[in-house]
Amino acid sequence: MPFDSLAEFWSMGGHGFYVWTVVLFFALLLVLNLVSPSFITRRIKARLKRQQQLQQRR
Amino acid sequence: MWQWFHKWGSAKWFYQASAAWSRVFGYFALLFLTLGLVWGFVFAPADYQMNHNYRIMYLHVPSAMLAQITYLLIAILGLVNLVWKIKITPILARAVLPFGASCVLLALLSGAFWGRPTWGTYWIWDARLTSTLFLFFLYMGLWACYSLLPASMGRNSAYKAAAIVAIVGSVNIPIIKFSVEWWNTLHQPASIRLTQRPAMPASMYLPLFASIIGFYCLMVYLMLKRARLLLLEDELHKAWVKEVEPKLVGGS
Amino acid sequence: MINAMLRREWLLLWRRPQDMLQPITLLLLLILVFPMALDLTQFSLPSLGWPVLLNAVLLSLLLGMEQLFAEDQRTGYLDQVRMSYGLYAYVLIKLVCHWLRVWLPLVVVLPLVIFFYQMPLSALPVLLLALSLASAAVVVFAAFAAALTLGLARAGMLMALLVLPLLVPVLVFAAATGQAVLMVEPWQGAILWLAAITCLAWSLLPWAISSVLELANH
Repeated sequence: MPFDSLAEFWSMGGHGFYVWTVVLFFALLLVLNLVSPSFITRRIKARLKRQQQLQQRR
Repeated sequence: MWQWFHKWGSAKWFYQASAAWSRVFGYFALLFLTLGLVWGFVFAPADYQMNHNYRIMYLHVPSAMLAQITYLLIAILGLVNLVWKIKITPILARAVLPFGASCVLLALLSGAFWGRPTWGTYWIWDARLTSTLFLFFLYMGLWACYSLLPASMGRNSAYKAAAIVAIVGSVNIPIIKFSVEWWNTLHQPASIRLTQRPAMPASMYLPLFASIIGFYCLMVYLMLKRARLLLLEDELHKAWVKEVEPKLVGGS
Repeated sequence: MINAMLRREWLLLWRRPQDMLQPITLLLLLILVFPMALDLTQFSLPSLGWPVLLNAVLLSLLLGMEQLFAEDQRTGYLDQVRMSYGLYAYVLIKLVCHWLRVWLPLVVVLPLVIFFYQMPLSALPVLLLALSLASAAVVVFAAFAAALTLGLARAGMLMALLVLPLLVPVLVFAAATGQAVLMVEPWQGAILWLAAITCLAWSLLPWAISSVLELANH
């Protein structure tokens, strides 16, 4: 095991800022990619709703 | 065999079958990414030259690889669409695009943050960095095609036009790479070759392989997940949608 | 049929000379304004002239290029051609004519650049050759983007996004040719690569352009 303590793990031998920024960015992109399909679902639902309203008006 | 081939023409079949595949690939992505990243960031030994900073590699190398492979995949899907006119391929291409663009961004940022302590600067006009930057613009152009062209030429034509753009782009990628390399090379040579044993101990490259496999699985998972919804959106008024998703489309 | 198309392009050129003059005016102004941004005691003009010219060519040739097929689509000529001869010949003729239209003014501008940027006159022939090849490549790539964005309201932005990354190799090899010539080094390698890319683009892209136009007018 290369790290003796948790503090050493966070500091990454002085490179903590670089390493954790990259990890954070990865997590951000991952969340964005996982969440964005729900935008399509919302778009579909909005479209269906609009069409239903149109049909009812008729 | 032909029956297998013909199934790909059926949107309903794809929609129903892909639910299970997407789940399987999702679990595999979770497994391999956790394995690779925890192993890489926590248990792998420190590099004697670059200290702990080299751990960025476990995100940088897979994202840089997948950034190129995804563009190639989009071009191949485009070619399949133009030649065999399989309805699902342009939707798959459109679905995998955000993942590819994210990979380019991650590759660029992780490269910059790896370069800063190693070379002393965030950005150098080196061949591989520069060509990755242009790859990002190629993705953006393709994205713009998918989102803008349907308005001017209709959806199916727009898909075909975007396929042509992707093919032209993928022919250009090696030329861009070659030209930029010709222009300037500072970057260290590739540290992983498939044909020879990597110059790293197994305790370093095994987590890297796990992470790469994890990225591949993630690509397939995200592609299928998006493609299912895009397919639904494109074919909202077809009979099969009412059949498989009665709750969503259901009459009143 | 080819004669008729050529005659039509020729007439269009004389009806609207501004099509030809617009990009070249921009090009000339860009080049002449650029030194104003420089401290001439620190930068050497001769080494800047060629890269500046190349970038200005890239920008100015893109400008207005989105109109290349728009007029023909509005008037219905594009549809007519598609029904009768097919689009491939039309695209090739259009491209050659357009390239000549931008190339002729470039021939005039290049000596001016050499003069204003104090470059050696002996570099002129090679630079002219490189400029011809580069502009031909720019025209064919920009036409591809023009075909794609045909009918879109704001095409300029998308055109730049689609075209500029694809033109990186052209820029690299054209710039390298000029640099080698000015340093009196062997320039043949760079210009051969440039020629190869231009040939590849001219052999494959007209086909892609005509299929995109086919899609757009379906």
